[in-house]
Amino acid sequence: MIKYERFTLSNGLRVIYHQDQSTPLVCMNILYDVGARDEHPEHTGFAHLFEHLMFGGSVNIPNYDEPLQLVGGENNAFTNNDITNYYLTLPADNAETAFWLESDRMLSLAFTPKSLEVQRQVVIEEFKQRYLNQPYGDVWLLLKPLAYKVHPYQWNTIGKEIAHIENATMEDVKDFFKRFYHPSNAIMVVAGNIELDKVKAYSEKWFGPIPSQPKQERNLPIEPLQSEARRSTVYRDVPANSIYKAWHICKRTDPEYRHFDLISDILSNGKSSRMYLSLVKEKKLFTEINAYVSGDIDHGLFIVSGKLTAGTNIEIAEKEIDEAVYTFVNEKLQQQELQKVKNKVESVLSFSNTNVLNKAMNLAYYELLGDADMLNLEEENYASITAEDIQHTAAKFFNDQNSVTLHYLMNKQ
Amino acid sequence: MNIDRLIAPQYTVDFNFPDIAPECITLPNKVPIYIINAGSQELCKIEFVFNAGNFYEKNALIANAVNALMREGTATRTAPEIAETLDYYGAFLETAISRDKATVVLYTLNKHLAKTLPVLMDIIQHATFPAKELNLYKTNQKQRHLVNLQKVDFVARNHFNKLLFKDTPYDLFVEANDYDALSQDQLHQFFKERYSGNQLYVVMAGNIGDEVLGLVREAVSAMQPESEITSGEYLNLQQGRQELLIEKKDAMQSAIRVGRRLFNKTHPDYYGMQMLNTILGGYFGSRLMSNIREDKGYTYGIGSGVASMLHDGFFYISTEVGVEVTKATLTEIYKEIERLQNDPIDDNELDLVKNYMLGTFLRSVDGPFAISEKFTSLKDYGLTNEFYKSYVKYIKQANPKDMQHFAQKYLNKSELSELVVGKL
Repeated sequence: MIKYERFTLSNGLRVIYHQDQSTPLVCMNILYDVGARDEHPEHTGFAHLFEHLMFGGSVNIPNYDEPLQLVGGENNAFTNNDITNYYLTLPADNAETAFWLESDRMLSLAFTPKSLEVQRQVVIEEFKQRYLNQPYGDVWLLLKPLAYKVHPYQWNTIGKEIAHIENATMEDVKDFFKRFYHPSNAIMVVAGNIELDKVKAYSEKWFGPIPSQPKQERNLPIEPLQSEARRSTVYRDVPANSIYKAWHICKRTDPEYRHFDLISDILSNGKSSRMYLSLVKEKKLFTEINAYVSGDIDHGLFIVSGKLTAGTNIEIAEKEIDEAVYTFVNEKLQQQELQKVKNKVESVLSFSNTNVLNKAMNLAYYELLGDADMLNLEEENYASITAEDIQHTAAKFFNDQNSVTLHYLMNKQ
Repeated sequence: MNIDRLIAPQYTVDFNFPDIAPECITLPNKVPIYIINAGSQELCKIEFVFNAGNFYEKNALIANAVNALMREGTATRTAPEIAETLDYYGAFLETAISRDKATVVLYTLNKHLAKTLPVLMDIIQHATFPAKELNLYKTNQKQRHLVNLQKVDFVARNHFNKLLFKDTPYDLFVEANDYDALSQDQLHQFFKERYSGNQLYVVMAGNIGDEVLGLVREAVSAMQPESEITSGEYLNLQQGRQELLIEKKDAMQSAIRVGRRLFNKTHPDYYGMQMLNTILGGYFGSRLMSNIREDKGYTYGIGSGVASMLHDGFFYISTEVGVEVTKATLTEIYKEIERLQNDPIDDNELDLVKNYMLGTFLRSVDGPFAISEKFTSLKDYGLTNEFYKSYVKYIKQANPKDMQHFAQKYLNKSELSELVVGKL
């Protein structure tokens, strides 16, 4: 149970406060409700590039990192399809520095041409390092556009191609800031060893004067139901064949989401999981295999991916994956197995609550999903899931017509 | 309210650091249990630390294989039974290996400890390393190795290690056929020598009540370890510069390593090198990051580090850069090192680094799990909480001359080795 307080500034900034007196630190997490899904199809990768530019100096503070390091703080950020999330931790006595720094870059950036020029290069190197100069690195660049034809999830956070990043202009940057970086589009969590009255006072003092702007309605195209299975095969210079098979599933906030989460645990979480025992250990068809949910806020994917052992036929490998997944449609789960994955969820939630930064991030994310309180209901929500629920959900989504398959094969010698 | 956003809020760097001095109970069989009792959640971490790192293996990968395969079968439990019990009770069993040490760590909710602890105890005393589990490990890890060989960063790490530590027990260079050579006999022997009959200690962190402690105490008391004295032999040899280029025709980025053998944390210059390293490449605002990423845009990231082992140590710089700027990056790396040797660091930058290091230390001792990690990193060297007290004192009083002195003493190009994987 994570206790918290919530208040909203008159400019629309939502603030969540959680006290943890066991830590000498304070964390500030600011989530901006903007991600790669909000990008123009011809300017992809922009939300992430913008995240880099947020460190290039703000209107009154030429360098973001230096003053934070000077007070013993540390920060980072990430961007995904849905959100851009900035977080920092610093010694509790120096908490006000966080309010000063974060409020200034919410107010306005410095927009220096040098920062844009350098960060374009840095992000291009990131593109190469993570997606192009790695074995299997381009899998998601291939799989997402196969799965999504209309919805912006068809491109990756890093962008469709390097050219989109190269072409980003200062005008684009300013426009993006104006649309998405303002109080009512943000959720701020302050957690750690600090009193509520201080958080209120610092929030008012530093964030209060930032002009308010209306939050833009998001109006994204809905991905139509898939009418037939989609498949693609590529050949690359890799040492093992691999397969990626995905099914379209529900939204992050639908109750079914938790069912898929449990199914993925049953299939591949831990050494007692079904696919590990049968496909890796017993039949030795895969050297590794994983099932997971994409976790996107809009309609997401349930994915199974695996690397095949030498000599395994890819069709047989795919058939085994199908069988493992479609079992959930045909057979009801045994109580013992359901209890096992519920116990795991309970344990994961407890361990994640031992870290103040985790708590801050989770509170912000659940608040975006609708209500921070959902974080505290999570354990109960999982505990109440029945075998019938899971079978029902599986029957609704697990069929070949709804699937996307990528065979990622070794170049023929 | 009118506020002046140009003026930063007041701050302090007078932090209260917790002591890294856990309570210790020594059992009748001489095994010490260290206890860090803190935290609001009803859970705990129980760590067993053995002298069973790569340093002690006669052939590559034996220490890794033993550590990874302990959980794959004991005299009375099969691998699936072990996994099922741990998974059913939501526990996490982590096995890890370093150059000197091997650890087996159980993360569990306290209410399930009575069920999960016996599994952990069985593994560390009665592992059997079944042939089929070993064969599976060999096949799967070898494939993973082949995938890794396509990553310039992995190849650089693998070869750099050899470049610095050839002909020492710290040469961890691995080739694909090392996996084929692993045998059950080797594993049994290593397990017998380094785990079941060896010096060990236990660290417990989390919410440790009487009941939790009682269970662990009883289980560990039943062990019969023999005591062993680890040799304190120091390997560090002065080495000249070596250069190696491993070409990869189709690489888009090159991985770069520059570094040298150094000393470990018992050396009087260790603190100084920690600080010099931070200035050069140890944080986001470091000289290397500022120049090579934030000014030139050559890389997504560049960093440096000081690694400590029981009998040795090393300093390294590592990055991945576009192939067309590989040469230019190396030039800038040496330029930054020379700048540290030629010009004293200015007070503002040094103050920033000092404060950042103090803050980093505070973060690194936040909570029982973090403190337990700090503790084991001291204990293995025979060091105590005094080490960190002196560390904090050192940080506060270090001056620009010291930094220049260490740069001149330890970062001469003639003693730095250089490795490029990709294109030069």
